[in-house]
Amino acid sequence: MPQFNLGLKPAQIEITLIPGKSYTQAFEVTNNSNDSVVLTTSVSAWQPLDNLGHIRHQTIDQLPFNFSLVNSDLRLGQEFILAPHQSRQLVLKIDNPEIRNIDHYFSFFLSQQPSLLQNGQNLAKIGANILISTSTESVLAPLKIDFINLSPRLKDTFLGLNITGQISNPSTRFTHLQGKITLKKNNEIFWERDIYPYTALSQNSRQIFCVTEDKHPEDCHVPAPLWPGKYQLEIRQDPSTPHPDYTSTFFVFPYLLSFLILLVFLFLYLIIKNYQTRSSKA
Amino acid sequence: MTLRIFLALSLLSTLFPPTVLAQRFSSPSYLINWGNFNLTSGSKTSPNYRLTDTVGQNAPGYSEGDSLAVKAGFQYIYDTFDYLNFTIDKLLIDFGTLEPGLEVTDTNLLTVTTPSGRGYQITAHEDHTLWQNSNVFIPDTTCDNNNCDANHAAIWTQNNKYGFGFNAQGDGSLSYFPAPNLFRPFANLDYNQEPAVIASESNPVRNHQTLITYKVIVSPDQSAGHYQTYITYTLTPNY
Repeated sequence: MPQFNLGLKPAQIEITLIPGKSYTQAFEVTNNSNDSVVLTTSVSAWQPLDNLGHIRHQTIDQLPFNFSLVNSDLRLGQEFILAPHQSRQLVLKIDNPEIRNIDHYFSFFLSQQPSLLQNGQNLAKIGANILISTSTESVLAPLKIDFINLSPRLKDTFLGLNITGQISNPSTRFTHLQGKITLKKNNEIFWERDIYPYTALSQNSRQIFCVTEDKHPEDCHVPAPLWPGKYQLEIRQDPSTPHPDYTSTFFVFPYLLSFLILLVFLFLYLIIKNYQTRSSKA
Repeated sequence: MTLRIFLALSLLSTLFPPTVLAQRFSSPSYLINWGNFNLTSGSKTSPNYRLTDTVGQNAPGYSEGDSLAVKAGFQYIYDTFDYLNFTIDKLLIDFGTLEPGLEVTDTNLLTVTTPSGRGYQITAHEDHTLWQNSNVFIPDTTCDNNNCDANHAAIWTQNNKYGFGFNAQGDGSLSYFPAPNLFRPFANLDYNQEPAVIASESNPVRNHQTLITYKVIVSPDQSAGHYQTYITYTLTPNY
């Protein structure tokens, strides 16, 4: 049974391309299946869909940049065959005729072409992101923290703490989130993580994730136990600045344990009271 | 006098040989000793930047043989990312002979691996309805209560609700198809519908799988014949 198994790298390129300049990027596509695959290349524009990095492609008649393949034997949109377990380098050239001070986002697609032998089948398409800034701004408007949420509402010693939030990029070019989230207790660092450097597109927002020890993004979660006391959460986008961009103070208390102890005492009290009532009646 | 100086210099050069900058590469099978690949190359760093360069490379570019590949010069081919990988386990879905009022299903397994730091999204669309031609077709499902569309799944269990649709189950599909009995029609390019997201995840994944279940139920009035369409799955990384 024929299958599709295609790899593409890099998955994303981020470039600055001022008017009149061009950029060349090599993509490598690998057919990991045991069947030959007929592919074609194309470029489509997209816009961000949400603050998680999802995208929505747009249908545009004329792309604002000129895209071409500089491979000697292949043009953009021309079909080619990739044999089983074969890799091929596709060198994409991007020319900026006259676009200024605005970001554009594209996908470089490899699309499987239908087999001539059968009508109707599954087809696959795989794309790499191309982020192009045409801005000549040397100083970017600083990123802005839209909101930070700390949950649960009652900060309990044994429940841990979830930190969620969103940072927006008001500038005219894409950039990356950066900075540190620090949780302090008695002015000493209790927990600290770097903010994952996700791409923040121009005039868009991005949800905050933390960096794991193996450099992957993950939800920002402070594990239990958080010993009772006063805590201060600080977020610094530039760790060298003395003043944090965001601070929040809260208290942690062993509510669950207290409630449990209270329940036990109440239970004991009721047993003792019941026993005393019976004794006095006897 | 000149001869003495020459002999002295020769002796000094023997005692203090100049440093030779050579390249040496080895593997269990090969050893390459080469005096010079280029004028200069390497990685230069400062607190804010890292620059890699190759100057004076002869015959720059990519070339390959049966068992080797050479990437000469051209820093743009640096391997800075892992692969984005997409697998579809089979390309042909054959429902066989359909009987009116009896549902027929088949499945596909989509597997995704994303590079470090990137999530993904998969969109799906059909070129047109399952058809013999544009006048003879199996309609896209509207589910039991006529309340599903290309972007919203709904319950489809009744055998008198004829049509063609699909369900997706897996790590990234839960928010689009919360249960296995919820179905959608494919976004139909023939009706100018945009491809719809059927699975997505925010964090990097390795071999995450999405099980697609196709379902078709035909009415007693359905004309006999071969019905076909093209379903396209598009994988893009999150930015």
